[in-house]
Amino acid sequence: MLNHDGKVYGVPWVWGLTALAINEKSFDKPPTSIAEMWDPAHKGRVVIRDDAVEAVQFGAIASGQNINDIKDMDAVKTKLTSLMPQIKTFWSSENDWNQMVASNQIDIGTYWSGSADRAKTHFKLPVSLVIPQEGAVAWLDAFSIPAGSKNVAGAEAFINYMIDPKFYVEWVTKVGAPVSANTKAVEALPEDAFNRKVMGSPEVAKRIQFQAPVTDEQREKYLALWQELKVNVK
Amino acid sequence: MAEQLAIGSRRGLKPALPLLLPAYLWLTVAIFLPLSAMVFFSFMTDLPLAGKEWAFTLGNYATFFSQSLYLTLLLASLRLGLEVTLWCVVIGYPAAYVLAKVLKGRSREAIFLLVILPFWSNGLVRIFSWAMVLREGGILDTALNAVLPFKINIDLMYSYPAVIIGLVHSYVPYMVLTCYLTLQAIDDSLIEAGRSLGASRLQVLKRVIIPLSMPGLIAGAALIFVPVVGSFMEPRILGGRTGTFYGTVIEDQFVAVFNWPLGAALSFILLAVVLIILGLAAPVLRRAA
Repeated sequence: MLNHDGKVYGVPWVWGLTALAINEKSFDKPPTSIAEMWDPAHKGRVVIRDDAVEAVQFGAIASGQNINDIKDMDAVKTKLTSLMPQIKTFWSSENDWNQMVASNQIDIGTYWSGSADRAKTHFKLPVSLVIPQEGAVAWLDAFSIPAGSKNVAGAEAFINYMIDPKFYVEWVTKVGAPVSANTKAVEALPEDAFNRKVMGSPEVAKRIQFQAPVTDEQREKYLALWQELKVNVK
Repeated sequence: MAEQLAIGSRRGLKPALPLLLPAYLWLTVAIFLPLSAMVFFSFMTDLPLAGKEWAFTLGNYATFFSQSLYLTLLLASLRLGLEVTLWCVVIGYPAAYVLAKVLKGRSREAIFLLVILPFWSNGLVRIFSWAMVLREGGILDTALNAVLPFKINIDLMYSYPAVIIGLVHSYVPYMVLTCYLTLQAIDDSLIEAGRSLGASRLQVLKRVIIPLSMPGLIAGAALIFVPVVGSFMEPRILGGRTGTFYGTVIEDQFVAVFNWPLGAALSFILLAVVLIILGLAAPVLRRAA
């Protein structure tokens, strides 16, 4: 997408996963399957993000499909419908997730890799990321400069700063960040850093599926499905 | 008072124009123009951004009727509006009565301040405070268990009651203020006259106080009912799994899928329904007042 017909349209910046995260207090050993979300033992202690695209793609992974080419939408719907009674709430911010873990209200839920790392290393919460064997949704953020920009040099300088290893290391150590798309920046991290050790492992790379662009029609279709599921749960 | 009004109406609208102009100019620029743009959007197939093709359509309004989802949610939101308004009357009216007729001087000022205090804090902060109070192991749960001899488990967070509590808290000051104004205007000698002619306290309340304060009750109810039906912040944060309402669905159309035309159409259907309800209720309420 950033590289189209031999032309460069953008610079990849950071990437991460929408995978699962668990409350370590609720598990003796971390689960490996996405099916854990459906385990009746966790009824009322499961969370999922309030986002139609993420929810549908998560349902696609749970029903063994390609997130960018969902053939069997009914299977996704069935999967998500059966998940609904398990749900405590739909989270919308990191703060939601971390508060619920801090007050021990949830066991497991979908979470972003960077946020799970941040919760553990910076907020010292009992959170760990689980990349299920069935896979996880991967996303990539990029920088582009709109055509007709007045200050292209300034924009380029900004992009260079944002992908710079020095800035990245500081970002990771002081705040916690997703994985840089700049390999040099990732190499500048300590060996055992989460973004290098876990996210950089080839085992993980094999399992994850990167999100392709989603069209407006798909987005609206996903939202209609998601809203229907949320209304029926009332 | 009556004399002044008579003079005002004899002079007509002209001298009043300079006084009205700033307000109406502001309303035109800040409310009427954006709202007209939204009406326009609601009839479009797509937003005319970046040279995208668009045409006029009634499809956005048809969407509302083609899926039972929107009607279900609209009814749920109307019910929410009625329940919140009712609780605001139950809580707000007695408070307004005490403020207007029982308390005097400094104690009235102090209580009045407490009623208005929530207005001075940000709405989002208030809702997050409720989250701390209502959740399992939260302030309410801990406090009650510390006092009560038996163990109870209070986890109201992420439920319909939590949404009601949050909304009632946000809107009850409107009811207190509008009722206070009308209750305060009731001449005490009317109440005394009723009592001296042998009416019981309940009869005075039913025959004198409530009818005379009805305009305040109606104004308060309208001020509360309308925004609550379209509310989305409180349901989203406090409602959890049950927090999907008509307002949150409209918000999703704007924020999540960038479908402004459908979001605008859904908003205007809500506006129409609310206007119809207020229109139907008006004659009944006017007779009651």
